[in-house]
Amino acid sequence: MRLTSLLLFSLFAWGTLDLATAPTGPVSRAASNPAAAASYTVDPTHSNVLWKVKHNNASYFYGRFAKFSGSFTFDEKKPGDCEVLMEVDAASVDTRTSMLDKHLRSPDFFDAVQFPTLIFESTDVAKGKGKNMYSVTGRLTVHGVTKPITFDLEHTGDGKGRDGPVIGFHTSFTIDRTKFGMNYGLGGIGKKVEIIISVEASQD
Amino acid sequence: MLELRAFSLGVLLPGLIVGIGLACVWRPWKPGPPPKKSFFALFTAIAFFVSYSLLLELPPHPFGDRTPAGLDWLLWIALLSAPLFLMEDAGKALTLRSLAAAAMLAGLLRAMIVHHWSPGTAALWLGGAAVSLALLWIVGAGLNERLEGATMPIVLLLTATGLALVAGLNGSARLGQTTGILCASLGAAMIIGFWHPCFHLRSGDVSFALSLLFFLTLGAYFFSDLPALEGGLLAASPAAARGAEVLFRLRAIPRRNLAVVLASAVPVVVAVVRSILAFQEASSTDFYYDY
Repeated sequence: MRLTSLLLFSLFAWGTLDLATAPTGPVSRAASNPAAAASYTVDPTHSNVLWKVKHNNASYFYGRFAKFSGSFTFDEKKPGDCEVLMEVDAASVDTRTSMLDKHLRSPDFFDAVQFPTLIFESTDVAKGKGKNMYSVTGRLTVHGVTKPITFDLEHTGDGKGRDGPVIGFHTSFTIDRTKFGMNYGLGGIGKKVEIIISVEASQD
Repeated sequence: MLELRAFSLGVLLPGLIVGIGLACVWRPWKPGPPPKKSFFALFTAIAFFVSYSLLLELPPHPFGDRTPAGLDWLLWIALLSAPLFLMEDAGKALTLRSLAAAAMLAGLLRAMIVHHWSPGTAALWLGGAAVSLALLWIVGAGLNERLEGATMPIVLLLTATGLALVAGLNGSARLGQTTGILCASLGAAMIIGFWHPCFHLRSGDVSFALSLLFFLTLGAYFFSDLPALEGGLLAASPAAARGAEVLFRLRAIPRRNLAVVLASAVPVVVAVVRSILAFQEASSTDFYYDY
């Protein structure tokens, strides 16, 4: 009984410790970048975070996240100084079918109450293969699981917005949802999920 | 349709673990004086953990690289604390059980505390949940004192089955399957209860089963979309059984037992029917059939 009590106490204490050190809000690493790189904030109206997954081994099913935010720093000449941070609201998953959205928010999939945010935070940016291409490495957190990931990012263009310069990027990469602890419905829903992100961001 | 794998690992396996365990302890084929402990809580905790691990996945533990979800915490703490529910109802046992229940509650609702609640809201919810669970324990202990054989497992099984159905219909098959494991354990206890004339769950067993039911209901409410009314109806089921037991206490035992079972079934049936109707209504405008 003493051993059980001790184990219980240890678990409880661990949980409490974790509570005390848990992050309380979005991190703004991008804002702390050296002055040479320009800082940008993602414009959610003119950006998209989509996903696609094989359904019944027959077709591709598309969905999106309606709410997300992001900030980054970008210096074309010094890619190593660039930093990217994207945060996506898991509860904003949208498939145009409210019952499916409800199921996707549930513990069967995103478990959005317990893991409310999907986060990507870069650790390294390098020049990629091809014009305007970059290779971005970082940590992706989905469903409470953090994994390292590398993907190609295309700088799609620069322009002038209402409030100043704007810049665009596009990427798509594939993750294995089972590696993030999302194992539900593997019979009908593929385990590879392609994430497609297209952002327009305005300079701060 | 219940898939073969889900049935084997989520219903048959836990039923066998608890059934064989209870049969070894109670020896219903050779009825003698009842054993000092029924070990239901321990066998249920083992069945719960084994079945959940095989059917869904081994729950992440707090020391790994993956953040455990509320149900993961609940499973680990339930497994570790099950021996405390074997102790007889002395003051020390009650204190330790209360600590175990508090740890399960904090683990289950950790995400709400971290991501969604202010300290005041958290205190209100946790305090309210602790009081509700204490009331459930009192109701369950009072009911269990009077009921012999399969009646108490039937009452608990009705509530658990209702919760499994309602959770499944309200958005989370995972929660429905997890509750289904508890249903199988209670079903095994019910069979032993029919078999052995003196079968009787101990108060710790009832407290353990009620704690799991209560926490699974809370999990369904907070993490899935279990409506508050359905959750309340399910929680009211043991109280309705207790009310019927008090009203029919002086009647013949079979009639009293029937009244207890029927009274506990009424709120469960209402909750399930409401969920089915809501599901049908939503399905008529939103074409969706699981995956």
